[in-house]
Amino acid sequence: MSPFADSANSLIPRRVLVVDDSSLIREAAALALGTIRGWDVLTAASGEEGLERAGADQPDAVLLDVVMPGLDGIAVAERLAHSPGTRTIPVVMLTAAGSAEDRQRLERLAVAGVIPKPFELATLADQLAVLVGWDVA
Amino acid sequence: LTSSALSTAVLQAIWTRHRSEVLARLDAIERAVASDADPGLRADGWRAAHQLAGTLGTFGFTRGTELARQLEAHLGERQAVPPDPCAPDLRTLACDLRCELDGSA
Repeated sequence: MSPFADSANSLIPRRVLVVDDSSLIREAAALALGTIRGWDVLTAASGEEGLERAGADQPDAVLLDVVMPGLDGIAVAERLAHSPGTRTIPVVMLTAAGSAEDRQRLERLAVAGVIPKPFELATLADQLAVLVGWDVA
Repeated sequence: LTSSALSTAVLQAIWTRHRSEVLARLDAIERAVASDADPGLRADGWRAAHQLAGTLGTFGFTRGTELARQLEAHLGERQAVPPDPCAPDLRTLACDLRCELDGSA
């Protein structure tokens, strides 16, 4: 547990998987959710790795980028939703809008919500908590 | 340290550590702009601009975000279109973006 974590928010330990091909975003999200909020943060650098980690590590939520090379975030969300081992894990998409086609595909997804990029470090954890129904202390 | 001061200091360290990723994306944008008719380079440039549009704001680069969004919009068009005399030149946008980010380490 981080020494910087707010104790009130640390009472319920959360484990969040961040899937993004940008190392900058993975580290910034780990700072916002882990160092500042005190949650356990797992990361994956691709859609394929994200699927593997979600199944193996069973996070409480997945924060998933949309535009990635290879398996993109929308395809990953669809696979998570259809796999018995991961279908109950809430998924929140991270997106900088993307193409019109991506926006249409996003609207058809059964995800917990969407957080626009660029995100604010100070509010990322609260945004995620609200979307997945966790108490915001 | 407050969490906000901590965030600022740590963000700066993260930015410096991953600066090569940002520069690689800038290079991809510049290659796309220089070879406007090449669909592969254009797609790479669009992805790079999209990434920067979604990243720079978190690190405080408001103008950089706007420039990256404009580049993303132009490079995301299905094919190169005749230049709009009222639209900013792609090369100028790419150059402005590099100027914004140069010296930011």
